[in-house]
Amino acid sequence: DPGSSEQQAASSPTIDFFSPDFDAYAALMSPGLQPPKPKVKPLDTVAQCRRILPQEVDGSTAGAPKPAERSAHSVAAQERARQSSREAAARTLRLQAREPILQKMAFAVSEQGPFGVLRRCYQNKQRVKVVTRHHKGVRGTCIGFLMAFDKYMNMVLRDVDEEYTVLIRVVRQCGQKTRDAEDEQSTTGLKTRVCRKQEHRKRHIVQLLIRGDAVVFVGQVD
Amino acid sequence: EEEAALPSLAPDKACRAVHGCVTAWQLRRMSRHVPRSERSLVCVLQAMIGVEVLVELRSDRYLKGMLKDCDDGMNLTLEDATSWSEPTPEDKSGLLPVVFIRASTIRFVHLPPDLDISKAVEHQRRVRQQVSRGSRHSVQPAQSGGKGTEKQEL
Repeated sequence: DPGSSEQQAASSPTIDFFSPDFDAYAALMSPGLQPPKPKVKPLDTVAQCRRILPQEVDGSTAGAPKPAERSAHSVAAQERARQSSREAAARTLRLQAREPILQKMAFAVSEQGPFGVLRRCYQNKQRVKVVTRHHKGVRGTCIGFLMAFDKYMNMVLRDVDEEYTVLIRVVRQCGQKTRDAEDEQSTTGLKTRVCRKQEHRKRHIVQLLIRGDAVVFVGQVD
Repeated sequence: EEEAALPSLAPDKACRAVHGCVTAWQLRRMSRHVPRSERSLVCVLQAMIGVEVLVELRSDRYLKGMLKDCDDGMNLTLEDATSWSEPTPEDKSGLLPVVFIRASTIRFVHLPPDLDISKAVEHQRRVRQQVSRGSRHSVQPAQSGGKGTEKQEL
């Protein structure tokens, strides 16, 4: 009989909610046992418990006046604060979803045409060969992985092998050849001339930004 | 009086003047606006302000110093720079306190090898947006958002 079993359950002091011998663990372990008022809100803080203490007990706030109703201004301010925090959260979400700048820059150029080559090299992360110039002619070649580029052909390359030429001035003594070579005084005709020589140099650079106006052309390296 | 002033203003500006807000399409345009620095690789250099860089000029000259400022046209300001020439690298100048480099004279900028340019550029963009929004919005939410994205990327 369900009625007698309930009475039996109520009589047992360990699972009787109102008895001083109430054992919470036993109550949790007994199946089908419901608290007398299951929908009551639990008291989470000490301050909440103070409100139900009898007034005679020290520390009770049972008789304390309830806090005043919130003004319309306060309610409106809280709503505005909630709205702004929601907007901030939405903004950060949009920021995270936005395309990274360097990728957007690379894809801002058209797929066909000259920049299509650069774009494909960037997409496939290929090694490219960039021929650079100084003011009077070709300087050398840079071979590296294309990390970023823009519409001005500024590029960032990685693991660059650069082979380049440098114009250096060499002081040389050039003799003036006279008709009569046997003449001992031909040595007085020695002049010091400054000759310009092209020196080839090689180096390895880990990360390099190349400005667009120093570029002659860019090609793929298989 | 206000109604008399309205017809002379453009409709959007009138809206702003009267209501103190912007129209929807203005908002969309503002959100689509890409700052000039982000339209070219100048953003990479701006992310490196405060880092020591080596700038190679078209005149075969090197300038190594701390990058103080980089403007939208890639003109650079270096601090405490040493200078030497490509043909004679041993002949280094003393410390030059402030050096202004015109953008058109730059050939290469040697970046530090451990720098991840995409991360640096994204971080710089977040910082710039926080600054433009003002100190009212604290740093924490954006940074925690940034850290969250970094975790996701990893």
